[in-house]
Amino acid sequence: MKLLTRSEEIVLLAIWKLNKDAYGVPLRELVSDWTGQEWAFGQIYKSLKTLLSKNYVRQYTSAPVSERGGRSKHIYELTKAGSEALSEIRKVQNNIWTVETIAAFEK
Amino acid sequence: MKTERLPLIYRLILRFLILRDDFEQFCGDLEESYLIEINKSGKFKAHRFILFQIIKSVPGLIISSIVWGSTMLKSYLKMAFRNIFKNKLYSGINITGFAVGLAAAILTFLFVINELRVNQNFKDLDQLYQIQVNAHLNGNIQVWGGCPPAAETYIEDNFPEILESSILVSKNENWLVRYNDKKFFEDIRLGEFSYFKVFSHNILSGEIPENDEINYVMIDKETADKFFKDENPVGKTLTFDEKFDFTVAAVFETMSATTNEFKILVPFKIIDKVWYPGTTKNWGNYIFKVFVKTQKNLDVNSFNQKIEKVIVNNRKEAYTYPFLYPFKDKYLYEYNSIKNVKIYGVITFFLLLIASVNYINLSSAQSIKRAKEVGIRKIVGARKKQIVTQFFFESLLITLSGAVFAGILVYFFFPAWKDFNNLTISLIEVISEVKIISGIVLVIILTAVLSCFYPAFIVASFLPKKVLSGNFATSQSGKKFRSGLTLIQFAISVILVIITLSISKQIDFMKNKHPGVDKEQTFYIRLKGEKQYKNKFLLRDEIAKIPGVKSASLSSHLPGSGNYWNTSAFGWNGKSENYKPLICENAVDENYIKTYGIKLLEGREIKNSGKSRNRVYINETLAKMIAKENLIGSKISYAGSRSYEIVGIISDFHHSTLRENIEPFVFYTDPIRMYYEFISVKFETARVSEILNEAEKIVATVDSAFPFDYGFIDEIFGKRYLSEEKLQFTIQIFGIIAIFISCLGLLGMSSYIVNIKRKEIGVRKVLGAGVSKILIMFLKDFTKWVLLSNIIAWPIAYFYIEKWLSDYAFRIDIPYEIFVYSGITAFVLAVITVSGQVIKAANADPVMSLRTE
Repeated sequence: MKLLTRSEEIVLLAIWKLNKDAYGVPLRELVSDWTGQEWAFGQIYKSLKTLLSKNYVRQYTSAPVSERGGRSKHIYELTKAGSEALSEIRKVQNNIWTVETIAAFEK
Repeated sequence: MKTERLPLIYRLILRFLILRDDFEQFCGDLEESYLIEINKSGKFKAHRFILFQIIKSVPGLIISSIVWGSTMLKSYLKMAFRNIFKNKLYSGINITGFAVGLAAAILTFLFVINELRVNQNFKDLDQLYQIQVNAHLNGNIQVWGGCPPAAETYIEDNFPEILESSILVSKNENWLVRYNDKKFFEDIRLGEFSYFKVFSHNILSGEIPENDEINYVMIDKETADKFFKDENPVGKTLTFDEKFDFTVAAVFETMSATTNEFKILVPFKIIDKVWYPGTTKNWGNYIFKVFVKTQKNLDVNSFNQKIEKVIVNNRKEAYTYPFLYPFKDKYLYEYNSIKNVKIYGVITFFLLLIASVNYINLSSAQSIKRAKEVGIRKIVGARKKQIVTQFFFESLLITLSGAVFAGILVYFFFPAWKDFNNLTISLIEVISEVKIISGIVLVIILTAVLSCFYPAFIVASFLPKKVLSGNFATSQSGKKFRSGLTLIQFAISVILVIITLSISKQIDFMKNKHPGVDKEQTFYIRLKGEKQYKNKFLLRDEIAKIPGVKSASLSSHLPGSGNYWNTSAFGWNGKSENYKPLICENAVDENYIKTYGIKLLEGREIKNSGKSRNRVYINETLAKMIAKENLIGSKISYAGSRSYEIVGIISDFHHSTLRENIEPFVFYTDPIRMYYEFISVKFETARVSEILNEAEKIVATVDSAFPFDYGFIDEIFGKRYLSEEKLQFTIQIFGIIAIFISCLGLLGMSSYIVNIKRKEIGVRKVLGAGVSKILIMFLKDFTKWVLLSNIIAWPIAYFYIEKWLSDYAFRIDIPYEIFVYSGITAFVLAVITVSGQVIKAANADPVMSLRTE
């Protein structure tokens, strides 16, 4: 599997974390909290598009909502491939940052 | 929580910049965040947050909308290409018709551009004027383009508003020019060198001499190359008419696109030696043109008031008042080229109209075929905007290919067109001029876009139900529109045909009308040089003795050449003081009317012109003007000093083209006032070359320095109507193009209608109708429209023909028979075009037509 970019990885994780509530605003807030930087919506959308094209997430439209003037939101959901990708990343992460490496790094 | 929407301005900008889907999500997200931020940190920070978001997100979103747009574009284009190639024949007809019309329109437009540029290419154009005069003659005011030399000098010396001034003789003279032993007859112009200070022609080498340095001459590049090849011309000596030696002072760029063209400029002051002494101080001779450069922003009206009395103050009985005429108006208004410009402008417009109308007609007819396709697509969910865009692209592609094709045609035909019309612009010049090329491109795009809209919208609005049930094709509004377009096309073609044929008729009339002189079997010899002039009578008589020569005559001008002198100085008993008509003059000898077969109406022939200097002929027109009894034997005076006796009245002849009325003429045999320049020889055709050889030898025995200069009288007459013949040819070509396009259009249309009515034809055949009956059914429809187009065309054609003909003093009556012929021709053409398709369909097996369902 191709490796994800860091942004894509973070956004994917955020989608997983948010469960049923993953759309523009909460995604942006969560990711901004995690990274400590203010993310632009554009960055989020960009990653979303790539994740969609790789089939790691799927997009569905929620029911129309009054706050949006009667229009619907796009909500994102992890696919099976997506969760597999996350596991891959976890594995690679563990391979790199073994206990010994972490200890040596902290010294 | 308050529900505040995102401020309108943000929403508008975003909506404009990015795709709709993206916009909805982004806008929604922004609004949510906006509300949260307002409640968290207040309005100010919320706005800052929104701006930050927009600035960081929009570039990426724009890029994705561009990417998406280009993918859509690619797909539309691919579809467009596929659809075009599916109907190769009809696409081909569309493109060709459009291209041909467009190419023709561009060519006529180039003509217009050319005319608009003549005389415009000088520095300080707004400061350049010609001094012309208002002549108060016989109760009305005529404008003369000439100005006497003394007036020029006076104005130049006394009015500092004139920065530079120059005078030229109105026409070129033809002199022998020799460098060492290279000699040619060249057209030279007598004029002041300051001409080049007024008009900013490029001086390629040398310096402009002062006006009183009369040993110099200025020549153009072509002449320099002709005489000097690779040598430097400046400083070399040229001999003129074996009388004058001039040193070349400068070489100027060969002139083009100007009304004053000349190739060699000979110093003006020598005119005192060439014409008559005192010419340069003359107050009464108007055969000169004066051009001046004034200071900037001159108040022309007040200046004109200052100079208007200059002539009357300095000359007794003068009646002319000088004024400044803006040089930039000269070509268009004085020479009346604006007439041609308008004609060609109108033709351009009509050609464009035909091209686009034809295209619209064809494509809307064809779009009917696609109706089914559109219906289905709509049902399946295509948005109207998409369908329109699809058709729009197809249309655009066709018209643009047509435009490219037109460009190729123009490139290919331009050299011939340029030659034919003596254009001075070059294609490269035109293309590199941004204004022009963008103008042309704009027109092409406009035509393409306008032609696209109707078919695109009509088709896209088809209601699926109506379309699938097959009723659309025969809808009322569609039919009316298409018929209307066909109407316009045919009307235009008929107009052009009528105009062409009428112009031809007028030209034939002018060429064939007997000019009043016998121009056949006559040649002329031009006498040059002192020796030839001195021996003119001898030469004439010797040449008359050559076997085969029927008669020989001396004259100052040749009939039909349009050259003559005129003056208002003639008077007679009983003429009122205030009446000062312009009367033309020619010097002739006793053999003139015999040589040219001119009828003597009253009186007797002049005998022995060498001795009887004061006997004259007058022509019919002058006789009518004088309107006295017993004209023969009465006297006519010149300038109150000389007196001539009228011995004969000769019949009128056309001294010039039939554009002009016949002027009153005096023919005298007084070579003091005018010298005999020509010997006219009437000959027997069989011996013409021997006669010419003999004549050459005879002239050479008198003076061999000048090459034998001769020509044929009927050629002079033949060349008179060159510009009309060109107009005729041009209109013919464009008429043919218009008809061609109309027939293409008719072809395309009829084949589609026939296509649609295939089933109807099949049914009729089954029910027993013959091919001819079916044919008649179709023709009835077309006939109506062709007849109607004639009714529209005739008045318009009449109007333009009448206007054009009114310029000619001698003209045909409006040729009504041509209108009828054109109508019939249009009808026949339509019938032929349509019948072809109908017969093909009618002969088809009804089973085949009825089977497809």
